Amino acid sequence: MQNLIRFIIRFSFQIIFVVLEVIALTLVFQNNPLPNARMYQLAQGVNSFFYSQVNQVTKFFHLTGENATLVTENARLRNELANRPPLESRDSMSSLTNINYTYDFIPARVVNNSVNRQNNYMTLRVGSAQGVRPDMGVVGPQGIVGVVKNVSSNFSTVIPVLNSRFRGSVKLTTQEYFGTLTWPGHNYREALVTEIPSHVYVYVGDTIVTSGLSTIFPAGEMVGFVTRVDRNPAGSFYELTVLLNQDFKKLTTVYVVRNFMKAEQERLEEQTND
Amino acid sequence: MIDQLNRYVFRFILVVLFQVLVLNNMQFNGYIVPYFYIWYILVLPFETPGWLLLVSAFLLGLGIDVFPQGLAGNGSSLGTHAAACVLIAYLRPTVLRWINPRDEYEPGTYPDSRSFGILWFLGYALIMIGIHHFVLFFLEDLSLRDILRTFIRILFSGLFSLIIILLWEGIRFKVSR
Repeated sequence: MQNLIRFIIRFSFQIIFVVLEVIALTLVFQNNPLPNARMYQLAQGVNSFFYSQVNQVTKFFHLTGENATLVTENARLRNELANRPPLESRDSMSSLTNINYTYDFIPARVVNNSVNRQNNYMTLRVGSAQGVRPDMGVVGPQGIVGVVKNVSSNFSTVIPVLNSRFRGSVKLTTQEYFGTLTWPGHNYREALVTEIPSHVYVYVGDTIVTSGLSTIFPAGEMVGFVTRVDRNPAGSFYELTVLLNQDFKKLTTVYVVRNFMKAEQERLEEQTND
Repeated sequence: MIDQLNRYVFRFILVVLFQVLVLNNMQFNGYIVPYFYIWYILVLPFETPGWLLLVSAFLLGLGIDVFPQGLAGNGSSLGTHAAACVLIAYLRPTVLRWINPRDEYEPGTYPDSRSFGILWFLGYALIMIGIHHFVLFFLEDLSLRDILRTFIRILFSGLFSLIIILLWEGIRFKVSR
């Protein structure tokens, strides 16, 4: 016993080092940052508050650019409004099949955002109180942004395109072939589109949009432009490098996509799978 | 004694705030972030007891970890700074013994550029920043897949950290003189 105490005193520096290092590494390797969910929510609340305050200050510096973006977006919306077919020419059939009727956009402010990691995350100042639920899509003024992960009553966190866990279904505007959008992790402006068969003609500059083949994004949301055309090692599919149209460093306002028919579609698909 | 303790607690808070509010938002070329805050560990007094050195380094790292840039379920980031900081705090006495300018460190001196000169401090900071960044970036990536890119990040972030720490040492002693 005495020997043990002497040992502890003699090597106290090393023992404390090992204990603290084990605590730190446990935190690193644990998937859930804090085992107690309540504690985690508390930390998230404090963090979100902190970042909203910082955001209150920093958003003033972005006002000029923000205005320009809003003006372009307004212009796009006005164009869309102007290009709608006149009311009398829309018969009852086309209004029923009009897919956009399914979707609704909730505006949200970005209060925290990262672009320089392997797995980036984003926090929005909307939550379940505003109708946001996990797995909803998020689009920005210039293109798609990501998918909602967790939701508290006034905040929600997003897995953006700039995260190695992100997967999105996209297609070419020139042809209807669809592929998968992922992020290789080097550059916050560049993503990768795979699984488009190599017999299709693809050119640098082709536009990539969402395919609408999931309940997350409506079809035709802007993604980006092809900047390089490669083939996978087997040669049967393309690996397209895509310049993301949305600059994730300049993101302050986004829209959460609510799909009113998501539950219905998913229930039916589940029944079919059984 | 209490006076000195207060000064170090105050300095601790300032260093964390400066790192989190200013430097974490400075992203050169996408992935270069200078980590100035380890300066706090570098210049702790020689007489700091071992346990206090380790515990304050752990708390400092945790303080930086609590405010990551992405926080949603980001398990890979919480604890990385704490782990790197505890390691350099543990190695600090050994490193100081290696690069000992004389036989003994005289009482009343601190491990900073005023006591031992800017060249000595440059070497000291270089070793400590190197170890810290190496551990930090490998824990953050948690894979050896893109090892070259990780090394580039270590190199450039380390360079910027070193420049900022040396600039701060310069400013600090210019002003106090």
